[in-house]
Amino acid sequence: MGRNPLYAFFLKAALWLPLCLALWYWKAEWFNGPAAIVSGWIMRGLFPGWVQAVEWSQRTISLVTTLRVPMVPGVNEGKVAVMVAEANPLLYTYGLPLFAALLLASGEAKRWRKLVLGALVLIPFQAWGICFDLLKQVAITAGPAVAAQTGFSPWQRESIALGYQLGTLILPTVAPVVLWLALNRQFIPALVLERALQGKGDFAPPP
Amino acid sequence: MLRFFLIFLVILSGLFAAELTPPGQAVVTPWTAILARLSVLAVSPFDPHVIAYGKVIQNPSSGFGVTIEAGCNAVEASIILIAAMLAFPAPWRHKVLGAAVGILAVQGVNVLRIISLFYLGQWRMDVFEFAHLYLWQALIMLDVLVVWLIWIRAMPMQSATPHGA
Repeated sequence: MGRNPLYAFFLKAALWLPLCLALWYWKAEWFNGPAAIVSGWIMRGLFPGWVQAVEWSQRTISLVTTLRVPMVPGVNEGKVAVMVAEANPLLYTYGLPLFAALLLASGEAKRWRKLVLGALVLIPFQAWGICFDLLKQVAITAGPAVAAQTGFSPWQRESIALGYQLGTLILPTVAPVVLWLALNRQFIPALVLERALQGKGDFAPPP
Repeated sequence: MLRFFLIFLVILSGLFAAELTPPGQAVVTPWTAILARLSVLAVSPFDPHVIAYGKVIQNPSSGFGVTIEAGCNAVEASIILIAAMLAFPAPWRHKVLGAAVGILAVQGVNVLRIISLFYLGQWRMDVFEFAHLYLWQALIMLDVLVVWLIWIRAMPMQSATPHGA
């Protein structure tokens, strides 16, 4: 009976993952830049009425708005405070090193081309998480006084909450794995075939 | 493959939406508290002072504690695994057995995650942050993928044809 090829795959993936994560974390500005830039375009494009600027530096994306934050009575009288939402893009982009580790562990052909393609395809999913994080802060966390200025209806706020949960809990991990499977379609048929051939080898030949 | 992905996404969306409803949370919240107790039970032979209350694990002497929030209870990881098993063409018996064993495997690794983070947090917060937010999240998904692939490979021979997947 031959060795299970999944063990080798799992071992390679478990070894590649910390290396890919370390590189991604070290050069976070490079690897998170595209998703942060796209998120900025989306927020400015969809909400020109209250988004003033989107700034990206180091490991934080800041959404500067024109939404006024209520001041505590008696404190800073006459001054105006505006809402600035901040998000950590790394929370939504760690799927990239996971995707890279899977690709490198499966040892397939054209892996570098697929790595670039995968990194590009993942950007919308990463931007989803970043945008919904910023929207959740503005429409929900900041309170009703700020949310009222955005004009979001109750069902839109519910949708933002759902989009945020999806973008935080599901998309960062599912998107890279689904993408890896889609770009590596031979993996599962090969696994099944290998199992079938190994199963045949387990039986004694007919007399 | 496309059919598998579509069915997977439909089941995943349904289960995830169900998790967020009050009946779903009525299951998830007690489960998270059980997870905290299981983690304390696992460390009690070598660290008997650790306590659990609700979804919190705490070291009473240092005051340090971790709370198990959504995304750290591996409920979403289990949902992803169930959706992948249900979407893949396989006998129902194999799906049910796979989901039961698979959830155990994922939750078992998750207990390791909780324990490791509890001690990492007491050692160095920057390492805790990295492990909590990125490393363990990716490792749990890798665990889900490996369990799913092992399940596919363990499928009964006559049904182990990748049609439609």
